[in-house]
Order: sequence, then C-alpha cells, then structure tokens
Amino acid sequence: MADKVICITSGKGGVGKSTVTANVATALAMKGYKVVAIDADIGLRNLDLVLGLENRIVYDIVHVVEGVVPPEKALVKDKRTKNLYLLPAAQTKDKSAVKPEDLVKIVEELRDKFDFIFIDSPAGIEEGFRTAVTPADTIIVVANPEMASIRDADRVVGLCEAMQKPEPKLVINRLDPKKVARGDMLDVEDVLQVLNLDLLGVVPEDKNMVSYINRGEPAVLFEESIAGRELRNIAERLLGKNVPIPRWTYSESFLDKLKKLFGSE
Amino acid sequence: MDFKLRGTNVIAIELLTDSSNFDLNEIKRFIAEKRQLLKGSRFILSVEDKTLTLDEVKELLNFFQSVNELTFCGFKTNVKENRELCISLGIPCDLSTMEIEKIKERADNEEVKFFKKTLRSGDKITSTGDIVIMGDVNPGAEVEAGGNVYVMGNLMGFVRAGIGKSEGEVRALYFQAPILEICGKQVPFERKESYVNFRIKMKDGKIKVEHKTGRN
Repeated sequence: MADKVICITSGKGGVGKSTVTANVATALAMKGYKVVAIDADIGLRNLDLVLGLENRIVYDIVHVVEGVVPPEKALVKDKRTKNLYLLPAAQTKDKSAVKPEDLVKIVEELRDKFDFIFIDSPAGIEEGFRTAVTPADTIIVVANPEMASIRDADRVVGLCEAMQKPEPKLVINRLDPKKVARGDMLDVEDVLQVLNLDLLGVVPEDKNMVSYINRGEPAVLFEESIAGRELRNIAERLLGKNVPIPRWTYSESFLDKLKKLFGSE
Repeated sequence: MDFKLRGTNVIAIELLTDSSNFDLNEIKRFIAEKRQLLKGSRFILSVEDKTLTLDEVKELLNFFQSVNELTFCGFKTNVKENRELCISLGIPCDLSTMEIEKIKERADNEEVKFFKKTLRSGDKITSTGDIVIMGDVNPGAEVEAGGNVYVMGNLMGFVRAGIGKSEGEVRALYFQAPILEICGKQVPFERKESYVNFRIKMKDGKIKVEHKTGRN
C-alpha cells in the first residue's frame, strides 16, 4: 500500500474536512486497519470533538514538535474503535508552531507503525495548508456543491499541482438530491465540469450529522445513516475496491405532491 | 451634401468619403461643382469603412474619365475588399494610413504562447502577444494578453485581451464568464448565461459578439 499518508483538504472552511477525516479513518479502523488521524489545524482543534476524544487529550502535536514527548506517547486511542488513534492539534498555539518539515518527521516516525495516516488540513491556503499537504502521498479535496467551495477547491488543486503532488481525488460533501432536483444546487456533473478530478465519493446531506458530531460519534458507526453508508464506501474505494458511486436522484413522492398541493412544505 | 477635400503628400487632392456620406450621385455633383478648383490636379478618392461593389467602382471610373479637368490617380481605403477589387480591375489603391498604423500595432517581437493545461483558480498567465490555451480556464483564473486569446475549452475565468491595442479578439469553444475585458473595454455578461463557439471581437471601436445558442 503505497498511498498510506492521506491529506484531506478543501480551501474553504466548513465543508466537512474534519467530518470526512473522522469517518473515513473510523471506517478503515473498523475494517481492522491500524489508522492514525493527525489534526493539523493548530489553534482551531476540532477533530477530537468529531471523534469524541476531547476529554482524553494530554499531549498534542506541538508537544511532539517541541520534543516533550515522542509521537506514540501523544496519540489518543479511540474508546470505541480498536486500531484508531488521534494525534490532536494544540489549541493554545497557532499554525506557525508546526513547520512542514516537523510534520514530515512525525509522519516518517509513524509510517511503519500504521496502515493509514490521515492528515486533517486547516482551511485556507497559507502555511498551515502547506504543512498538512507536504508529507501526503494522496490528497483528497472535499467540496460542497456550491460555487464558493468549488472555486476554493480549484485553487487548492492548482497549489497541489504547483507543489508537484499527484492529482487530488474529489469528495463531494453535503449533496442534497432534493435541492438538485429543484435546481437550487449544483449537481455532480456541474462540479466535475469545473474541477475535473477523480471522484472518490458523493456524500449526501444527512440531517442527523449534526447530532452525530455533537455526540462525538462518527456517522459510519450507524447502519441507518445515509451519509455514513457513503463514507464507508469511500473507505472501500481507498482500499482499491470498485464500489460504484450511486446516482443521487430525487423523484417527488406522492406524499410530497400532496404536501405541495396543500402548500405545506 | 458637402465633402471634404484635402491635399496629400503625393501632390494630389483627396476627396474624403466614408460609410455615412458615400453617395455616388452626390460625389458626381460635388466634383462637377468644383471642376474649376480641381483643374489640372491629381485626384484621389478616399473611401473609409464602406465596401464598394463592382458596379460602383466602374461607374466612378467612367465618371472620372469623363471629367477632363482632373487626373484620376486611384482609390484610398481602409477596407481590404475594396483594395482587392481595385487591384483586380487594375486601378491603383492604397491602404489608408489608419490601416497601416493598425498593422504596425502588432510589433514583430510579440510572442505567441501555448498552454496545454487547465488553468485553475488563482493561476495567472500573461503574454505580450497572443495566447492559445488547450484546456479550460476555471473561475478565478486570469489570462492577460497583448493580443488575442483563444481557449480550446471552457472559458469561465477572467480574460483581458488586446491590452493597449485598438483591435483584438477572444474565442472560446464554450464560454461562461461573468465579465471580460477587450482593448480596455469591460464587457459584462448575464449570470449563468453560457455560449457555445463564442467569439468577441473589437474592431474600429465597436464590439461584436458572436456565438451559437447556449449549451443549457
């Protein structure tokens, strides 16, 4: 497995980088792979919240960089999923506390001990982004089906090209088939027309996602979550399996038509 | 109708007409009136921005030959077709200085750049001359050219063409940009409007947009 260091980035904030990182990492760990998720968003730490590990952090990545503890000591073991570890970001420092070469060093130390290393990149295209992308073998760009997110993702892809990284893969997050059918949201083709990347997955909008994040339980743990199912498929595709991407189409049900008729949407 | 006459540096008198005041009968009447003034002079007819037909040229020639007072020396024009027509009839015809200036605008040392990649958001390319892009220009990308811009793909970013010039064109197989600048003039487009086989041209201070119907 050559592509074991995977950086998840987007350019724009709030598109679901941390959620995708947490869920795909959990899905791979559930399949028995040894996975570590590194939160590279120094100063705005939140991957620990999505994984529900916020109360177990003792050391963080800045302690590792400063040489206070070795990387293995700073890792937080997930309470539910065996084989899943988190290297948390520091909340008290900022992005200049970790340099690209520091992260490369940490990743090299962890590389032999894990099957997959996920790096959750900060938003933006400055120092923090470069730090997160530098050690990566594979880059996953997360974009929402809206122009602002697509343009930022496009910029990030251009920067990755300039850094001589392999072409990033694309995850479209928060696609609402209902809105697409109404013409209120861009569809997958529109996004691909601009970005022109390998599509790794399309995660549908899931109204339960907020509660999963608030509870600190990744959606992939729940069979009933539609987003969780697609995030598990993304993990399968990362393993090289050929899982077809479902076409998210929406057709009005009889009940919807009835609701429309009576004007209660 | 009154026409303007002016002396030229080849010791001739030039009668100036253009698309707005070109009228065969008026020209004939004007010359008949000024016969005494034009006596013994070399005469040039300048026709700007108007394409002459074969019949018009022949009629003018017959008329000038019938006027004994002046020596008709030929036409002067800024329209290529006129020049070609005159030359095919064996009549001398000069390109006007305006046209010569425009040709000079395109300096010999201008470069033509080829790009065989998609320009992503944040990318910027420049050239003193023409640019040919074999790929898309995504939203947020910028292209700046002293000459023309040709995009063999989707043009969704910002293009500035014909910088410092009075003529230029931009072509794209598919066009969906909010705004474009050509020869210093900004041309906005409707949001979400898309065009196939798009072409925008700036010539003689006028902007001309051509395209097939939109893709959507």
